[in-house]
Amino acid sequence: MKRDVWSRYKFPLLFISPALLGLILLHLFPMFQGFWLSLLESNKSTIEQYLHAPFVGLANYREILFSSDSQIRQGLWDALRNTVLYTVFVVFGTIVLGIGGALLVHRNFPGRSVARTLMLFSWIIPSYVVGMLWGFMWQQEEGIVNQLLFDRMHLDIITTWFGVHWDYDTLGQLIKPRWLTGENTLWAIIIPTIWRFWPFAMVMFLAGLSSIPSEVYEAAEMDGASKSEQFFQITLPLLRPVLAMIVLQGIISNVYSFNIVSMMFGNGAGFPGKYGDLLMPNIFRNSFQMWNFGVGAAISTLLMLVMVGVVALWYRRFREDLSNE
Amino acid sequence: MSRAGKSRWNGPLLTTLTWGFVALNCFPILWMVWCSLMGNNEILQGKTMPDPQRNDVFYVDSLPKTGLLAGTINGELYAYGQGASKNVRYLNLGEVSTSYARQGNNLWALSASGGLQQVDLAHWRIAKTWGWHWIRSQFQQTDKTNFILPPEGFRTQALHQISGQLNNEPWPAGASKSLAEITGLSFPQDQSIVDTLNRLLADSTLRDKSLQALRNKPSWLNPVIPWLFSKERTSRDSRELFRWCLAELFPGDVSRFLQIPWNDVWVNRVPGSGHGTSVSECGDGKICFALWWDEFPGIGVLDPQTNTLGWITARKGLSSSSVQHLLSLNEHLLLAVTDAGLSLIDIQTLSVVSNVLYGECGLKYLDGRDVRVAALDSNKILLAYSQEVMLFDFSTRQGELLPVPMLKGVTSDITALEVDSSFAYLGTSEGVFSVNLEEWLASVQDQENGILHQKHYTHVFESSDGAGIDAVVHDIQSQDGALHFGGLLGLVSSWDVSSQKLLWHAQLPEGRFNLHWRNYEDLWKTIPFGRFLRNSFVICLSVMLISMFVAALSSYALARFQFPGKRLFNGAILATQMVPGILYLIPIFIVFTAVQQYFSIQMVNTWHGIILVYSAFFIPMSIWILRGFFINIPRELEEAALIDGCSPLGAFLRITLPAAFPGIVATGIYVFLLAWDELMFAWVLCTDTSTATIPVGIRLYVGQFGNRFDLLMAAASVATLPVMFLFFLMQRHIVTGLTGGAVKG
Repeated sequence: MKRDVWSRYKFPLLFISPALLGLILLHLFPMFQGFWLSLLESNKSTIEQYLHAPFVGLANYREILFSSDSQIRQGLWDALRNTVLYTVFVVFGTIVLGIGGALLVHRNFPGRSVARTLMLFSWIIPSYVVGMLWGFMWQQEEGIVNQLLFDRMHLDIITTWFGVHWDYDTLGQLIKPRWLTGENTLWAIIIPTIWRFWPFAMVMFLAGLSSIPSEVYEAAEMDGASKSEQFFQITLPLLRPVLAMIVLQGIISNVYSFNIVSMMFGNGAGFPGKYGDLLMPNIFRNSFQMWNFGVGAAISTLLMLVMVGVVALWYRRFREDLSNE
Repeated sequence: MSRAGKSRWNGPLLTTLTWGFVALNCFPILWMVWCSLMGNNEILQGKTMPDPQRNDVFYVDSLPKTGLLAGTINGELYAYGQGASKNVRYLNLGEVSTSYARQGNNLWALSASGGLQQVDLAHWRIAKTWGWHWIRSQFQQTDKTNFILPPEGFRTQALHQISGQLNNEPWPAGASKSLAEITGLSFPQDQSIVDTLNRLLADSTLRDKSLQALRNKPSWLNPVIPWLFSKERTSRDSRELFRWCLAELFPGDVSRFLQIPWNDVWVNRVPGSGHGTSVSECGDGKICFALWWDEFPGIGVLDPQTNTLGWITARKGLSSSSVQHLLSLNEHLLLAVTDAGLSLIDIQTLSVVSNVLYGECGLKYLDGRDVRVAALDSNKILLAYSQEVMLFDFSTRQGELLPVPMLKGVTSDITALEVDSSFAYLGTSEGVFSVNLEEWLASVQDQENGILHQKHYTHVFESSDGAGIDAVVHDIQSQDGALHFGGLLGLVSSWDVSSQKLLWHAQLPEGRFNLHWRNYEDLWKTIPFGRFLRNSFVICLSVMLISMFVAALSSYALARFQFPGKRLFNGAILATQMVPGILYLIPIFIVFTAVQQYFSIQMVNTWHGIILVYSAFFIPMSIWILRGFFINIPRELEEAALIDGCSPLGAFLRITLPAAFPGIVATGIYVFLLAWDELMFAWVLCTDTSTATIPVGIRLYVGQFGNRFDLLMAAASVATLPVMFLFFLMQRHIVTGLTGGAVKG
């Protein structure tokens, strides 16, 4: 029987075997090790003992979840809050810009393919470059954002009419907002991320849009549907499978976002601060700068479980769209 | 009807909106490239737009017949006639970070890009140029790599002494082991000690062991050493650090073994004092010059008549090779202000007469901060830093703070300092203050007796009257009862000292807007960026090839065949995308260290380690994308081949694989892009320069990059270019591959 299976499926089994080996060796095996490490007190002094580091049971989990005076826990909760806000805003912004951009370049106009290509530019830039570039652009004095907004457009004067308060120094110079410290940091990481990822959404939506047969619109036009009715009644519902994929991709890639934040602050040498820290940089710091592997593995394990839950929720929400196809 | 009207306006409006959107989206990228072509000075000063900006004057001097000469940091020279508000002559040296020194009818300009230039003021032209290339070749004739062999006539006693110290004396003082015991080397008593020392330098483990022992030695005289210990070091730093420590622990003849580093000149460096270059005339018609960074060997002394170059370096006792100011005190004595302290140098013998480190002899500890100096006579100098002025006397080796009450209420630091026979002049952002020298110096004596003659201070010049300087004064020149100022925004003016009246003022015309390729050259010269680029390419290409090979096989199997566990395999591939990368990274790092420990196979900091991890990491995703391509290839093609007598493998190789090839290439390029963009794994698994990818490399040199936005943007542009090219090469196929899964299900 066993031989039978082998001779029958020899070909595909041989073909998948390298990938399977990689999957077991570098995915499955480390994953279980990671889980085991989260139960150990694994740090710089015990790293040489490998998996025989002192077993502490759920102590790491207790520290990050319940011990109220732990700095690790405080940092983790900050990072968690930031990550949730970051993911929600980025996914939302990406989708809005993606649909908008897709609709704009789906029309026929001179230079359409050039415009499409140019729109992809921000997506191709490596994300660490995005972090460096925007870290430069957000600088208080040297940064182009403040220069454009305040030196050129004098946003301070305009917004004062609407009751926004600005501070000026003793020489009467405007104290421009600091983007890379304090609460602004969250926006300083959200905006570049949207900028980097919206073209991906646009590409997906564009593919979705071009798969909608034009007869559908012609029929709707016959029935006297307005453009906006067509958009909300036809386009959006038909784009739901694409939307589902983008939401999933967006959630996963943004919860696990590391590069932009870690390169934006001091080119990888700085701490992003209370409002700029995300889960991945946080875990990374705990593991590879504080050398507390046990805690890092514990947070990663918890995060993975939470993400399984999130994906399950996503699946329930979009199940019909996926099965329709 | 309304519909027709709408569409007539809708089209152009939406098209405009689209192009606006495109422009906005591309702006940051254009900005990145734009800034990578600019000097950091301009970026830091906000002069990033090509609109009318006047370049700052960093040098003023009088010309014969009371004319005025003004020089900018960009090597632009302007000559003004008497009372003329427009410049009468203009000379563009075309360089960046330029410093000037006057020698009779010659002006010497030292720039970080062009080297030393001699300008003939009488004929108003560049007389001669000594480029960095020439300077470097001259220097290299005097230098060898690593520890150099002692010269002929070197005392054998010195070799005995150093070998005895290294073999027997504790390393560091008070410890229990000597260097010989720590490293297991024995240091011979003859010239071959140099080979032993070089072997130690070349072996990173031995070197690290030796350095480890010194790590917390509290009493380093040289302030550079603790700093070198504290920063994240490269191999080159470690070698340098070891040499420093050796010279520091066993001073004397061993310092003759010191190698003098030479790195290519790093232009546009903005140290505290604006230039980073300094040049001075130093007696006998000689010109000395130095740069404000560690990688430069020290002070070069050029004799223009004989065209020879002498050097004053660490081997000759210079405390630091990073020189901020050079000042000629008299015919043969030169003052060098370095980031470690002050050095008096005898030009005739090219030797250091005396060294004073900051933190000693009443001097403040000024680790590389902005200092201005002026000489009162060949022994006494004035040092100005932030808002304080210090009198330093080399004969007593004592420094004393001078009271500076006139700076009360002034917010800026002292930006210029000039002394003539009776007055000292302090330039600030709010004009120049003058003070009678005799009374000022006397007040120090009186202060000791408890009397402070503050009332003697008068401030002569106020700049806020609008007529003269109302910007930072960068240079002051006093001549025959007249004072010349030059400063921010190209303002220059002359004042009469006795009547305190403004004689004349002018503003430079708009200077040139400085765009150049230099940042890209510097990127290669100053950090091993070429190596990072190579590492990135090698790693990403290998990952691409390996993962395409493995993924093509698996995805073909998934697309064509049924086999037990297919659903599980499919699910596992999707599930890997949900696991946070760091959950793999921690165990992989620990396993790698364990492999190194138990099997002595180097895994961290190797190409094969990171390639293995990346390949495994990107294979599942590639399988998923490739599966779509394989499904779309008609099965009939293969079946026809099978009927024609082809084996299944043959059908795959000859029919399906070529058909899927564009898809495989596109997916491969996508994997390349992802690997190029990966930071977290590389950050842990490639941490030294031999394997670091571009982002890790940038991070390694973050201390040197600091606020060098120009270099950062150049690095960013170089990192973007290859992936952009690859993407647009295969744009259509990549988009098809990525959207295939979503749109077709």
